[in-house]
Amino acid sequence: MELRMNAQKFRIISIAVFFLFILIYSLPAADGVFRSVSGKVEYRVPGESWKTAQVGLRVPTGAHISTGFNSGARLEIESAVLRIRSLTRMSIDELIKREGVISTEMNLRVGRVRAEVKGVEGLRTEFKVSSPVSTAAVRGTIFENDGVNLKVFEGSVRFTNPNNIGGVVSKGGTGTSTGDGPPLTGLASWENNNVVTGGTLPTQYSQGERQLTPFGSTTPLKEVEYGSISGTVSFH
Amino acid sequence: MTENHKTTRRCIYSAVTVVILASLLLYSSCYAPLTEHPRPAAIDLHIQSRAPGDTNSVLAGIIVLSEFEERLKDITQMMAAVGNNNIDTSDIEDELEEELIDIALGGTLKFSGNPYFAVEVPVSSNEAEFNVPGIPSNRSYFLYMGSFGTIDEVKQFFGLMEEAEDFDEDAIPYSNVFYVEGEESSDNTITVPFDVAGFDDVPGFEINDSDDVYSGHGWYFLSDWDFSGGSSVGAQADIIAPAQQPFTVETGKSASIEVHLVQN
Repeated sequence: MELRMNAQKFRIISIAVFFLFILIYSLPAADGVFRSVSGKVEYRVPGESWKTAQVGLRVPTGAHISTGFNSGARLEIESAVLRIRSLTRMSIDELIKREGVISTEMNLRVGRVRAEVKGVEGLRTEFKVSSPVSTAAVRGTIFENDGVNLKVFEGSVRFTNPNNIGGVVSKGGTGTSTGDGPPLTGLASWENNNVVTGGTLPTQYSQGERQLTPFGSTTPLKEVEYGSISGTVSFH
Repeated sequence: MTENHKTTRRCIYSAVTVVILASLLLYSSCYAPLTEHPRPAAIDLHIQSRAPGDTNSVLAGIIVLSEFEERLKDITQMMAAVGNNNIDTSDIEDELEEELIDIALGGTLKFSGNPYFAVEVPVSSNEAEFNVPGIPSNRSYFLYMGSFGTIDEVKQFFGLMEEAEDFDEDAIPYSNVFYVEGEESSDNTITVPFDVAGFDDVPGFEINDSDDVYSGHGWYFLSDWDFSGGSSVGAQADIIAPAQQPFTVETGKSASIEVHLVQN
């Protein structure tokens, strides 16, 4: 009796896994299309070498995109338009259009992108730009992100650190995430932040050194020690 | 590549010595127009606008970890080389681009997420004093600086604000910090070969030590590069002063440094 129950359970699980596979692999993958290209813009499809991007060219999921000095591109992805600024390295990690949902995930290694995500009637748009230290997720908005800093022009953006801790940044708002704490968000604080001092080390040099405060605690793991730089500037 | 194009490139690269990495962010954004700033008379046409007598200037700087010294040697050589209109530098530009991105990602202090700091200081008699607190201590750094008229110019330069049409990056005084090594000849010249792996036949650098400043290999502040010598001579510049870099920041103390800014 027990044996028969186990066999039945196994059969049900197998069928579920089979249909899950079918579902995953039958999702129609969408493409991105270069609508404008200026300067040196290249793309690379997995397993192939870098090629020059051209207007009208379609790039699939998994493609990496690179822009050079004074270069840029406009990439249209279903309901979103992505303006890729110069010296950007990014990849399209997910680009799936299934019934009722368009799901797009970008990975921004370095550089800056401006995303305009328009709502489409009858479709839900999931659009994410992730970097090593932040994720900006949107539904119908315009924002600009360089992986650390975020500025929202329209709508609202959910802005989180790698631990998915963060908040919503609304129109006119900004956010900054360095990855080691909740992102700092505020209204146009970027614009008002005229004088910027107080440095942090790049991640690989800061283990055990940066002021890491565990979430839910007010005690830093270790106080950072600081000095300063002062001096004289002579104009020649 | 046209002469104009190369000149533009040179402007960008040399100004961006200031900004070794800032080139990373040299793209437009979408904000307000450039605020006009005063352009009183001073030393010469260029310096007038950025280092005006007895007024304020915004100093922006990039702080690079000393662990990146060897790569900085390559980067500064490549930055100088790409300013040379007499040679084809497209391969060097590609390599430079990669190096800049690498160092930007892993080799600079971040200030509110940005790879630069900015301080507004009064300028008097072409000199200004600055202080940058909050630097992680017990480490050594390199400092690259530039002088801007307004904070808006800094934002434009680093790509945080749409560039105004009249924003002239060429007019930004910058610190030309360069590694000089080799024997000084009897005519007070040190010849430094272009020494970036993978590149042959790139003309080197002729460093003039007319003020007898050179005291052996190390980092020095140089004048702006002169490329008028043709393709065989390469770039020429005068030594201004030892750079005293890298320098160490100690806990609770202020590392004192003199910075010399020059202009195209």
